[in-house]
Amino acid sequence: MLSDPTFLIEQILNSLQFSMLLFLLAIGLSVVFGMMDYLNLSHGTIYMLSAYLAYSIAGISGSYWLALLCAPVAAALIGVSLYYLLLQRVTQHGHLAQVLLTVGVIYFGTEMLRILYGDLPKGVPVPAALEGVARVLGVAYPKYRLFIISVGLVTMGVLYVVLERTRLGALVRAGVDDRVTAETMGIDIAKVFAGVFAIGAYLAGLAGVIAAPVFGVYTGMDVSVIILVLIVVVIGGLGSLAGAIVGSFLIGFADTFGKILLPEFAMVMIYLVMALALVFRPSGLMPARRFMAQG
Amino acid sequence: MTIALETRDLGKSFGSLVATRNVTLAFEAGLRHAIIGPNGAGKTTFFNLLAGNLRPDGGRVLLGDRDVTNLGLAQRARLGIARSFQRNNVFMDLTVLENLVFARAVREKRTAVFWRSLRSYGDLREGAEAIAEKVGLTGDLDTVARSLSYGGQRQLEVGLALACDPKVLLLDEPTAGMSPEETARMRDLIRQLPGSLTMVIIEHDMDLVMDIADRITVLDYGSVLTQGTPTEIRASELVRERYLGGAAANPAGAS
Amino acid sequence: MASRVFLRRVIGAGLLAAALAGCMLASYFTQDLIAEAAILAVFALSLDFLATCGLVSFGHAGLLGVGAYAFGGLTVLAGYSPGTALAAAVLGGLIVAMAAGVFAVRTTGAFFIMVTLAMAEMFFSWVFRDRTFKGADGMGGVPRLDLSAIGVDLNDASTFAIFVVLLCAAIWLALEFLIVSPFGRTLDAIRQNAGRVSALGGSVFAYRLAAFTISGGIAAFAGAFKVQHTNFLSPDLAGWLASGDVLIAVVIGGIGTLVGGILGAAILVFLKDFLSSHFGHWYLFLGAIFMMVAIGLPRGIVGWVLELRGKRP
Repeated sequence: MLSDPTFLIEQILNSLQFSMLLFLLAIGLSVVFGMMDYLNLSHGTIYMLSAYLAYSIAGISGSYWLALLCAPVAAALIGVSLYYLLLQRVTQHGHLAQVLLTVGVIYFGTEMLRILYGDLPKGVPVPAALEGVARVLGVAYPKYRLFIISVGLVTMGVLYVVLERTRLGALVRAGVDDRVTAETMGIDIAKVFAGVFAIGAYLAGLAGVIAAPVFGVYTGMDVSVIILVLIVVVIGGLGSLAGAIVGSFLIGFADTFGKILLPEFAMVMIYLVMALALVFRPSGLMPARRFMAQG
Repeated sequence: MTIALETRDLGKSFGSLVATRNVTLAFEAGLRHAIIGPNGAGKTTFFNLLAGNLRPDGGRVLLGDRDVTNLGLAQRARLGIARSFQRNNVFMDLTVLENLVFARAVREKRTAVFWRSLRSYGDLREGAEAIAEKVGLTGDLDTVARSLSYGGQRQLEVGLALACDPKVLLLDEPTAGMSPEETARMRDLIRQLPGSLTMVIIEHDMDLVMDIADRITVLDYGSVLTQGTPTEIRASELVRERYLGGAAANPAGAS
Repeated sequence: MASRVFLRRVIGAGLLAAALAGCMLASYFTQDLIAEAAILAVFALSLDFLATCGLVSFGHAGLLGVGAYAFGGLTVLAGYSPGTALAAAVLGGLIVAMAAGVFAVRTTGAFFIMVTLAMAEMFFSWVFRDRTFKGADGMGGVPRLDLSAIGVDLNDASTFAIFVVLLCAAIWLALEFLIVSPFGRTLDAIRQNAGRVSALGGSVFAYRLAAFTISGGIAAFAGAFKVQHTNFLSPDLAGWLASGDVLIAVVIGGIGTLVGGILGAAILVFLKDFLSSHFGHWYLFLGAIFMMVAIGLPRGIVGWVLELRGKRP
């Protein structure tokens, strides 16, 4: 079936679209981990929360665009409050306390959403302007999914410029690569980190809103996606934009094509990609300098 | 003369920085060799290549007549290259005795035992106590490494390397960060090690180097500047100009 | 410092006594919970033993699942006796752990956490879809060991609970001895300073792989008893929530203390039962309790108690 060009192009576009969602989630997780050595499993909960917010905002106002504008901002605010109120209390206590704390946040957040919204999955309609299909290389493909791909590509471009070409980006990279030196040079890592955390939460929120019309809104959507995102981060390497991009593409394509080629064993494909990557690169394909393997 | 350890055309770069440049050196058995050079001369990288912490980009490392270039740190240690580290690198939660008993157990390949307690091995304990005596820690056998003085931890650091029964002992700045009294103690300790042991020492303390070394190698920008006995090195114009003057101005620097 | 080891054993003996008293005196439902806690405790011991060498897995339920599915599959589908199936389950756990470990133990820290999570999710998604084991529906009718030859009926709730409590105690004692053996001390040395172990000539990879393999065997053993307890095989056994549960049990109890895993397992099982029978949205409370423990007792309960006795392990 892959010999059918229409089908192939469709699947490539599907892979791209999924890769972009993974990327939006992975970059925040990866940089937060890279800078603070913080394993934040509740990153996906921000994604889920934002999807529910989008459902409410779009439902009440009738405007998807208002949801797209507001929900990620709310997600960023909630993410940062969460960080200051709770998460930062175990920064020094190691990964295990972080896992326990953030699993607690996942349980708490999921249950809150259940209380507020009930157990049934919700839908967010595709905005009118993006209904229907467009032709890509002669193949009819839903406009909304092309929109997702565009949002991802634009985000990658913006992040690239910010990280590589601006002072803020230099601060972030310094914070990832050598926190101690950066601090002795007078950089307030805590402030830089708060900014990074906010941006990470914003992007997770953005992913939640744009994913909602395609994948639906339900409790548990956070956990199913966070596992793939963790794999992306592992494959790509910690703390680097390039790593998050490469990892997202690999997993996005492996997942989509795995489901076609080996419908029963799509996860096997992902696992193979991860195992291969780690055999040859135990620190991931393109980690930030600090995480490169010695020797 | 027997060569204990030698390198041929050894090279290592990190990106555009060439840390070790075509180093060909032979360390004669039974002598104390010192490696000196200004900060950033590539001493520690060279050491890491000798011990197996790093793999070279090119060239070879030979232990006697055996090529060990492709062997890792642990394999080289088993063949008789033992090292100490510039920063204290001991088992902080164990006592001095436990540190040394464990090192002896690794050396004697007794760690794959599941059914009896490590404490119950009298011979390992004796071996460990003998080493503790050599490094002057007999009075601290039951002190947890974390609570030892800095100098005491440095002594234990050397003790762990000695516990490997090495043919070649690599000491990376054994007196780094030590007080004058502690340095004097370390000098005596190194002097009293058996003459059959081949030693390679990186050291910044010139008095110590001139005092204990039989041969000195000067590294500069990753390559060998010159070699000789302490008298020859002291007399060398080249070394005086490139290094000894600078070292006097910056005696406490670390590479 | 002997007092810390002594304290650990006192806590262990106290838990054992309480569990056995409960098995004999308490109600059927309490006996059932004790059995559940004892099996989770065996599972927690496997995870905490692995932590001796500094590795923390977030995919241990995958290995538990291997044991559970090997036992359930061999007894229900292939008609083997429970005894044979138990041996095969443990063997399966050892083999799968060794094969997975070859890749996994090359990584450490949070990387290891993520890699093991991904591997376990692999196994989960396989048994979730595969119709051989009835996929997501699960499969009932898993038998218990037949010990009628020695006059023990494991289908009796009290007897089964006593049996698994004693198994748990036996594994705990075996591990207490194992961690002071040369092998166990090597694992501890690797946890403290893996680089130094290499420099002394020890193979960090080989010892970590051995620890992961042994841990996998114990986890699979726990899995075989988990399905005997419920008589039911379900993919959830191997899911991330189960990996999270056991990790949380170990963290609450105190990682690196062995007995902490047992205490944590008991607390988790009874806490969940208490909350779920008294409150509607009880995950709200469970989540809040996790957060409080993480912030207030980051080294866990036993870790905190031992810390009061001094800094030495």
